[in-house]
Amino acid sequence: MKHSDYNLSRRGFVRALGIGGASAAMLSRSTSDLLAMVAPKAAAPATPVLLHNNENPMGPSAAALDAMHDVLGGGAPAGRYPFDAARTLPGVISEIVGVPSDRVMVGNGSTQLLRTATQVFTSPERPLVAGALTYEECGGYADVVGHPQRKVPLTDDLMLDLDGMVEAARGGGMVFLNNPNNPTGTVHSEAAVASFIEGVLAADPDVVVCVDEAYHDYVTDPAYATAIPIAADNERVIVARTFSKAHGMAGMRIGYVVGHPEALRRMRAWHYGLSLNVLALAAAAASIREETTIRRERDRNTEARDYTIGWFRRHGMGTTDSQTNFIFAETKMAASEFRAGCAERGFKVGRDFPPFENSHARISIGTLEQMQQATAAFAEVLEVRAVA
Amino acid sequence: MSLSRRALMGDLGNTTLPSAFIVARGREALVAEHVSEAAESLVVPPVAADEIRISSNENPLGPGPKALEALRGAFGVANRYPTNTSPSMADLRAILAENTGAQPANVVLGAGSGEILKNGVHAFTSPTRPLVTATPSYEQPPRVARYLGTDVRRVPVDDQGWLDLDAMADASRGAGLVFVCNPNNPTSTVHSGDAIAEFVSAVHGASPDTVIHVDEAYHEYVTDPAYYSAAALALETPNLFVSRTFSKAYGMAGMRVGFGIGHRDTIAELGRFSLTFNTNSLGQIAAHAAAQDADSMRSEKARNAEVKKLTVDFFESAGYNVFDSQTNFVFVDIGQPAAGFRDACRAHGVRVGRDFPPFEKTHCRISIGTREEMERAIEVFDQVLEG
Repeated sequence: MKHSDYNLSRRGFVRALGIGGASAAMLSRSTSDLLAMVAPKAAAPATPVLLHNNENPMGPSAAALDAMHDVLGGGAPAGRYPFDAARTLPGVISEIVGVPSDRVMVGNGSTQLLRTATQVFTSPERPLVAGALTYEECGGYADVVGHPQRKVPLTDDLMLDLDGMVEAARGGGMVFLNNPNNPTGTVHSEAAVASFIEGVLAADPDVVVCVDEAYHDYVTDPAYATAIPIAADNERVIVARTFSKAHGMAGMRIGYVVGHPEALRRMRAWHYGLSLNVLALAAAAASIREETTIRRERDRNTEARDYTIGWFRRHGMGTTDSQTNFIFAETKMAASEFRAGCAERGFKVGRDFPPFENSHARISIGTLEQMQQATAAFAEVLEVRAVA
Repeated sequence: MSLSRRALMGDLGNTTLPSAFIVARGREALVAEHVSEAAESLVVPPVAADEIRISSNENPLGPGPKALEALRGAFGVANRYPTNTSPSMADLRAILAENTGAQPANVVLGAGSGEILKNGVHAFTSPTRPLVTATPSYEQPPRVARYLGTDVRRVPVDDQGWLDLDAMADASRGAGLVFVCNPNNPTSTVHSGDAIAEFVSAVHGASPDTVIHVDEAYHEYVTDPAYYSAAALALETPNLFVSRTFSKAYGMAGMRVGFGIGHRDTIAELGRFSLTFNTNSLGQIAAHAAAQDADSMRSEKARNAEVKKLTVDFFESAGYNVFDSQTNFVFVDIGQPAAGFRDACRAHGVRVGRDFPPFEKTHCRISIGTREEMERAIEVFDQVLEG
C-alpha cells in the first residue's frame, strides 16, 4: 500500500466509522471498541510485529544459517562444550576488523562484555561515567554490584554531552560511550570521538573508555568511523560490538570486544568464558565475513528508516537523526499510552525512557512493509488522541 | 580396531608429539592455578576429527530427538531475543518449575549452570564471608572467589572420594557460601538425600546466614536409590539453592542452558547477577522440549549405566580401584600420574580428563562415551596401563 492510503484526516476517519456526530467523549471512551468494529486500513497482523527490541527482522545471513546447520550435523555436536570454536573465533573476527588476533574477546552478546568491563574497570571508589540517557547495561550492572555512577545529561538536541562526560571522567573507573547512542539513535563523528577519547585519557591516568558500537553497521553518516583502531593500540580503550543487530542474531547471544591485550587480560580474569553456544560461534564466524549481506541489510534498514522518519516529520513530529535500526520520535504522547495503542493494533514498540517517557517513543525499524503497516497504526493512535 | 603393542610403542616413541601440546600443558597448569575458565578454554588442545573425547563429561549422543527437532525448528528465531520467542525464557522457567512442583519465581536461568555457580559466589561471598568447598571438587567457585578476594576453605574428600560433609559443616560457620557438588565432580560419588538434609540443618544450625549451594549437574545420572534431589528442600529453606544443567544427561553442553532452583528470596538475589538474555533462544527452545521428554532421559540414563558398567568392569577386573560412580564419568586409581596416562592415551586418539590435585599422581577422570568409543578406549587403556 502507498503511504497516502494511511494519511487519514481525523474527519475522514470519523466519517469512515459512520459516527460523524459522535462526541469526543464518546470517542475517547470507546475508541478501541469502535476501531475493532471497522477493519483497520491495515489489518492487525496475526502475531504482533516486534518493533520494541531493535532486532533485525531479516535474521541471520544464509551463510550463517548454513554454518549453524553444518555444525549441528546429526545433533551430537550440540552435546559438546564450545572450547574449540571459542578459541578460534577471535582470530576470525580480528582478521575482518583488521587487528592482531590477540585483541579480540567474545562474549554472550556484547551485554556480557559490558558487564565484565564494568566489573573490572569500575569499583566502589571509581564510578561509571555515562550519558543519561544511554544504553543501560553498564549502569544496571554497576547498581547490582554497588559501584557508583556519574550520569551526564544529554544536550538539548538529544546528543551525548561529550564535553560534560570528559569533565566527569576525572576519578572515574570507566566512561561509557554508546555510539550510536541507544535510545536516541544519534551518532558522533570520528573526529569528535577521537577528541573525546583523548580528553578522557588526559583527565585521569587510570580511567578506561568503553565505546559500544552495537549499531555500527547501520550508520550512514559519512563523518562516523569506528574507534577500533584506537582501541587496538591503547590499554585504556575498548570497543564493544554485537551480532545481535545488523547480523540478525540477537537470539544467538554473541558479541565481541576489541582491545589491547592488557585490557583484555584484565577482563578475562573475571569473565565467564563458557557462555557461548556452538551454533552462535559457527554463525558468527560465517557472518563476520558477510560484508555484502551486511551492506545490503544497512541499505534495507536505511530505506525503511527514512520512510518512518519521513512519516513522522510529515505529521509534524520530530525525530532525532537516527543512525541505527530504531528511531526516537517525539510523539508528544506518553510512551505508555502510545505503546498500549500500538499493542492493540498488533505492534509492540519501545518501553519508557525517562526523562522522555511523556513525549518520546523508541520504535525499532522492521521491514518497509511492516513500517508501512505500523505507521497506519501510529496514525490511528496519535490522531485519535488529538481530538480526545 | 585393535592396536598392536608395536604400534603403541612406535607412537609413544614418536618425537613429533607436538611441542605446542607440551607447551600447552605447562600453560594449562598455570591457568588452572591462576585464571578463569575463559582462559582455560584457550589452552585445551583442539579436538582431532576422529578423536574420542572422554575428557569433559559430555553426553556423546547430543540432545534427544524432541530437543533436536525443536532446535532445528528454531533457526528462524535466531534474530529474536529469548524473551520474544515461543517458548520464551518465562516459559522455560515455568516448565522447569512445574517439573519440580515449584513456581517460576523459584527458578533462575543461566548460560549453563556455570553462570549460576559464578553468580552464587558473587552474590553470597565477600572478603569477610569465605567460600567453603571440597577438594577436589568442581573448580569454578574457588576461581571466582579468588578474583573477589574471598577466602576459600577447602575440605578434602575421603579416601574413596566422598565429600566429608561433617568437616564441611564445621568449616561453614561464618562462611558466605558452602558449595556442595552432589554427585561430586571429579570423584563421581553421591551422598544420600537424607545426608544432604542433615548437612543443611547442621550448617544452618550453627551458621544460619550461610548460603548452601548444592550443584546437581549429574542429578539425572544417579542410580543410588538413597539419593534424591535437594530441590524440594530448597523451595522451603531460605539460604539453600540447587543448580542443574542441560549440559550433561540432556546432551546440550554446547547450547549453554542451566538453571538454579530454590527459595524465591535466594533465587531473586541470585537473579540480580544474571547475564542479560543469558539463555540463547535456540538453546532455550531445545531445553523446553527436553524438559518434557522423559523417554529420552530414561534411555540416556540406561545407556550411560550400561556403558559405565563395561568401563568399571574393565578397570576392576584389571585390579584398579574405581570410586563409586553416580555420574557419566569414572575416577580411577590408575596408580600412576594422570599426565603420563593422558598423553599416552592421546597419542592413540583418546582424550581423558585433566589433573585433579591432590589426586593427580594416582587418579584419572574418564568420561563415559558411546559403547563403541569405550570399547576402543578400553583397548588403549589396557595397553597404556600394561606398559
